[in-house]
Amino acid sequence: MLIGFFKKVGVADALAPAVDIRFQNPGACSGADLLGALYLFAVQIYCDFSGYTDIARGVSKLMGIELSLNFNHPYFAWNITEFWRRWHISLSTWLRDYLYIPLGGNRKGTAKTYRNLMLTMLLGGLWHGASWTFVVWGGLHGLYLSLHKYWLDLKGNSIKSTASSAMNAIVFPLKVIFTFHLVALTWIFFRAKSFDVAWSYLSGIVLWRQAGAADSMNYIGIRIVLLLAALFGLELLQEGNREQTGLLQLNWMARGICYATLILLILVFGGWSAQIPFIYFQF
Amino acid sequence: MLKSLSSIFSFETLRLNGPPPAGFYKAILFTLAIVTLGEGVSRFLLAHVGRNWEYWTPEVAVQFEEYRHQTESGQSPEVLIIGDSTGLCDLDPLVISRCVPGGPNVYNLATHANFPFAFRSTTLPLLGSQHRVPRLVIASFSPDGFVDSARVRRFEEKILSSAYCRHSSGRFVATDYVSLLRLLNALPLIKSAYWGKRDSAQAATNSNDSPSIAKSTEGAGPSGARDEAEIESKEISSDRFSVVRELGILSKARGFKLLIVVPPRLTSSMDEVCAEYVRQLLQAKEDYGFTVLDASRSAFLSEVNFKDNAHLNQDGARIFSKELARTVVPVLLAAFETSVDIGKQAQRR
Repeated sequence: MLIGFFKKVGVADALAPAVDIRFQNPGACSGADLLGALYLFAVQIYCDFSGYTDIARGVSKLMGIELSLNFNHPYFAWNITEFWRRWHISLSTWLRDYLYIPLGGNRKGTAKTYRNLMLTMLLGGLWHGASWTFVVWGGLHGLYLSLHKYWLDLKGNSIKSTASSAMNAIVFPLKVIFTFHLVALTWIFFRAKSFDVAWSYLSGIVLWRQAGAADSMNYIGIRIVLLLAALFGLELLQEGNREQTGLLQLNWMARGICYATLILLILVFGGWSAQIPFIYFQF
Repeated sequence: MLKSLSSIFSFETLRLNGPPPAGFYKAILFTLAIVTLGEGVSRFLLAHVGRNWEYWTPEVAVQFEEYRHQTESGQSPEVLIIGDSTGLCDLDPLVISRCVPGGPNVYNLATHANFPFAFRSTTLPLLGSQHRVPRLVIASFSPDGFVDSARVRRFEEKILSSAYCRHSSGRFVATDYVSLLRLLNALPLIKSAYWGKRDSAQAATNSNDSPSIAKSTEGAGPSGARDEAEIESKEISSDRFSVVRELGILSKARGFKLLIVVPPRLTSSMDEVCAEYVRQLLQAKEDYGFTVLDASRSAFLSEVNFKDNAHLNQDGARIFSKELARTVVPVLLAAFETSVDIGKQAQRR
C-alpha cells in the first residue's frame, strides 16, 4: 500500500503539472521539451495506474483478500508481447480470453492470427473511449504485436527462447529501451485530447522543433530526479519476484530505511497538494 | 481459496496470513523513528522562516511580514498602497515618498491577482482594529477584478487556498501541523534564512525604501498582466463590489483617508466595465466619504508608458506616481491632519 501511495501521490501527481502543460499546447514547446514530457507521461500513467492497483491490493490484503497482480514492472519488458503480459494484466487477460481466443486466436492460420491481434487491440483501444486517438493507440499496439509475431515466425523462435537469449548483458537493455520507446510513442495518442494535438506533439519531436515558448526541460530538477531514482530503485528491487515482495525480504533495518525514504519522499516532494484524480477514473 | 470464472475478477480470497514477516515491528518502529527525526529536522530548518511559509509566494511573504512587523513595532507607514497588480505595478512608493512634502513613509502592500475576494482575506484584516493604520490608504484595483469570471476566480483561488487565508478565517488542516509537508515550498526561504541566498524575485520584494516595486514585476508572472485582463463577462458583480464598501466602512471606523485609484489602461475592450466601475465608485463615495481618482484615461501617459493593456511599465509608474504625489496625496494628508485636529478639539470640549 505504501508503494502504491508513493507511485500515485509521490511520483504521478508530482509529474502531472509538467505533463499537462506540454500536452495542452505542444505547438509552443521544443522537441526536447516534448520528448522529456513524453517520458514523464509514460512514468506518470504507469505510476498512477499501478499505484492505484497497489493501494487496492494493499487494502484488500489488510482484510485478508489477495487480489491478482495487475502490473509486473512493464517497462522492464524486452518486447511488446512481454509488455502486454506485464501491463494491465487483468485487461489484457480479459481481451485474450473474451476477444482474441473467441475470434479464433492463432488457430485459424497466419492471416487470421494477425487480423485477430489487430481487432483485439483496436477494440482494446476503443474500450478506453470513443475517440480516434484511442483507436490509433490500439491500432499501433496491434501493429507492434503483429510485427513481433511475424518476426518470431520468421526466426522460427518461440517467445520463451527470445526471452532467454535476451539475457545478453548488452542486447537486453537495448531491447528494453527500444520496447519502452515503442510504447511511449503510443502514449502520445493515448494522452492527447484530439488527433490534431497528438499530431502537433509527434511532429514537434520528429522534426525536433527548436523554438519553444515554454522553457525547455525546465521541469527537470532535483525533485523529479530524486523521485524517479527512488522509483527505479524500487522497481529493480521488486523485479524478478512474481509476488513483488522484494522489499519484505530485506532485513528489518533496510526495510525501515526503505519505508521511511518512501514516506519522506511522499511528504516532502510528492504532489499531495494538487489532489489529482486517478487517470483511469475516466475510463 | 476461491476463484471466479472471469479472469478480470479473479482473486484468491480468505487467505488470511499468518504472523507478520520477521522483524516487522522493528522495521515499523525504525521507520517511525526516521520519519520523526525528519520532522524534527524540518521543524528546526523552518524555525527561522517564521510565518512566511503560509503565504502563496515567497515575495508576498516578505512583503506582508515586513508590513506586519512595522505595524507591530509601532512604525506603520504614513501612506499605504493596497490592491491588485495595478497597485503593485503602477504606483512607485519611493517616487511618492520623494515628491510629497515631508517625505512620508510609503509602503506598497498591493500584490498580483489580489482581486476583491482575495483582498478581503489578505489585506482588509491588516486595516482592522488589531493593527495600527496609516494616515492615507491608496487602493488600486483593476476593474476587471470586479467581474465574476472563471479566470478571476481561478487567480483568487490560489491566494484563498493559501494557509495565510485559511488561518485568517480560522481554518486549520493537518498539513499545517506537519513541517515536512511545507519543506519544499519553504526551500527558498530556508536558503535565505540560513545561507543568505535570496532568490531574484525575493530580492526585489517590497520595502518602503525599494527603488521601485514595479521593477520586480516587469515580467508579470503567471498571475500577471495579460491573464488578468482577459476576462469573459462584462458585468460588475455586486458581491465583489461590496469589498469596496467594506473598505470604505473601515476607513470611516479607523479614521484613515482613503483614495481609490481607477488605474490607467490602454485597452478599449473593457471600457464598459471600467465606466460601470467608476459609476459605482462615485455612488459609493457619497456614502463612505472616500476620494476617487479616475486615471483610466490619463493625458500625461502614452502607449510607451505601458507594458501591457492594464499595467504601466517602470517609467510609466514613475510618471504616474509623481503626478499623484504632486496633486492628490498632499491634499489628502493635509485633510487627515485637519480631521485629527478637529477630533482633538472635539475631545477637549
